[in-house]
Amino acid sequence: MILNVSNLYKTYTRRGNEFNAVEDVEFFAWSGDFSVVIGESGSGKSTLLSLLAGINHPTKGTVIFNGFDFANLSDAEISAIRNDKIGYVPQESVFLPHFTVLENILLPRAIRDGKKIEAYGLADTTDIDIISKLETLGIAHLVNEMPAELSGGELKRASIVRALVNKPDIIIADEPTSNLDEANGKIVFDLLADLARSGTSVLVATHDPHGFKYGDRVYTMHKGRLLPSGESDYGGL
Amino acid sequence: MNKTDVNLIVENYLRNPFRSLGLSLLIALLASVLLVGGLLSLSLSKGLDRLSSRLGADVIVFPQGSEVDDQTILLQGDFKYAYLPQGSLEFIRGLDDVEVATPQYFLTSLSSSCCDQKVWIVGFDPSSDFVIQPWIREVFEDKLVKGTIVVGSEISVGEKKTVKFFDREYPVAAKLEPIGNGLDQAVFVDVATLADIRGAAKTKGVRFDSSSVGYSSILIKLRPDSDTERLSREIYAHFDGLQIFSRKDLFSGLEKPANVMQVVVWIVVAFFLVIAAAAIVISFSLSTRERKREYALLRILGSTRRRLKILVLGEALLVSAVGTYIGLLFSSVFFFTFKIWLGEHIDIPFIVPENAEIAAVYAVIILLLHLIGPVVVYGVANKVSEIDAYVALREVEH
Repeated sequence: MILNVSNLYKTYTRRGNEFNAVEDVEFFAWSGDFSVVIGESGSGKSTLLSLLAGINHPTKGTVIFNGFDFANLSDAEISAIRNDKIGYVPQESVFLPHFTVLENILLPRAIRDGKKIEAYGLADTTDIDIISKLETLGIAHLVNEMPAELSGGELKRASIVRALVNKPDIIIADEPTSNLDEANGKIVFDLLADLARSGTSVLVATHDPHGFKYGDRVYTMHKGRLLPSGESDYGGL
Repeated sequence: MNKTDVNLIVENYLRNPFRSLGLSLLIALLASVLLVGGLLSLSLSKGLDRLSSRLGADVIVFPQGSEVDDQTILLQGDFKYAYLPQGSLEFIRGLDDVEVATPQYFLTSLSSSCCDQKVWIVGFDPSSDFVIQPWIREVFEDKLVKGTIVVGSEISVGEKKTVKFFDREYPVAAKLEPIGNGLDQAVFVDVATLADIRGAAKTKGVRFDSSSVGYSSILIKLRPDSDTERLSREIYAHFDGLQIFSRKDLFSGLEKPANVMQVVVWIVVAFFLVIAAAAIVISFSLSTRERKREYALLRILGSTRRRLKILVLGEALLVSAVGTYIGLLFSSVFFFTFKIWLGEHIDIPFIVPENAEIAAVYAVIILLLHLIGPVVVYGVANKVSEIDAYVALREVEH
């Protein structure tokens, strides 16, 4: 089991009132899983994904990754897991503006190895088949551009490739097909499905109706609670 | 700090060259002020210390009309042609407060074909001198034989190591360490050699003042617990045409401007220090806000909080280092090009420090200024390291 999440809460205070963005969530992910979380805006999907990716700290509950409880790990240990074992695709595409797209894509490996970012040429990436993924997603010709030159959809696809650079055990993608047209959205989901088939665990939060059919398990997030599909009054399914 | 950190730090520095160079130039200004101010201050202190130790005498007596004041005695060593009354040395030696009194004689050479250069010639009496011979012994331990001379640090000596006065060559036995006043351009001889120079002048038809056999000054070392005012009263009661200066009189007039100059230097340093520190803190705070998403991204991709802190501190270090070296380069060129001009135009004894002391000043400035950036942005770096990546991304998104 890659992820074992139990009794997870994340509480925020808004205008003096506490509310649970994530409430009593139980979740499991195994190698090769393709899990999809749907839910309306503000339901807590992004917060949940950030907690599972070790980016955010839960108010209560446990997140156990590959047998390691995040609560018992140091910042360096969690950072190493985030870098090497978790491929996180944030909802908003963020890039370092003064590095090329390729340098941005290879940034996780540079952080892991402590090497100069520019030292990684495209030729160095063959071991993780980055070139084919760039080609699959239709952005191989853009890798030497600066991020500002790319459209939102192109950046989104680049951020997906970036999440794959260190061959993570799990991909956690927050709205990976936002900014993408239907055809490119399908390509992204196909790629994620391929990854799941090759043993990588995939967890996706999406509004994209095409994404639902890729999930081995589909969950609905509603007011902070994660419910198996069919148990919500959310009309997405 | 690994290569990724260095790469990110350098890119961040270069990405906004106006901001980065602007901050570096402020540090450069600070470095310049610190270097010039530090070396100036050290030079003045050394000048005063050296002069004080070289003066040797507690009291100096000059003839009236020699147009000296306490400044010219110390700064120019310019005593004109005037001589003390006959019998004054013997009288002074007989006073209870006086331990030793020694005469000095001053001449000038000519800046004509007969002489290498126009210099002051200071003659001393080896049997009683307690001022000039200790200086000479610092660089020349043997006894000065008749006909040899000792020159001040700024006297140029040819390959033959002689100086020509009135068409007669005088071997240079030694060159003194700098003192920081006009005596650096003087030549020191014992009375026998002085008589020889007078003779050479006479054969060339140069006639000194008719009273030139008299003393130009008398230097007095007092007994312990003696009273300078009483001594002055006794001398003035017996002789007219004298001026008497105590060591305190001589130095109080110099220490004050030196101290004022040093205070001004440090006020300027403090001013630039505050301006540079404030500019760095403000600039880094603003820049951190702009780059919140980038720091959040680095966290998401696996950077530790410590690494984020290193990035901010590293960039501040780079800003400081670039500024420090630019500032030191330009101020070094300025100082070492104009040090002679500075020494001549600051009316305070001025001695450029030894190489080791200069190196120490550089080392202190480099250390201090490399630290300034990281120290003043430490709070900003802490904030960046505490950044909540998830919140930071969502703040911008929504």
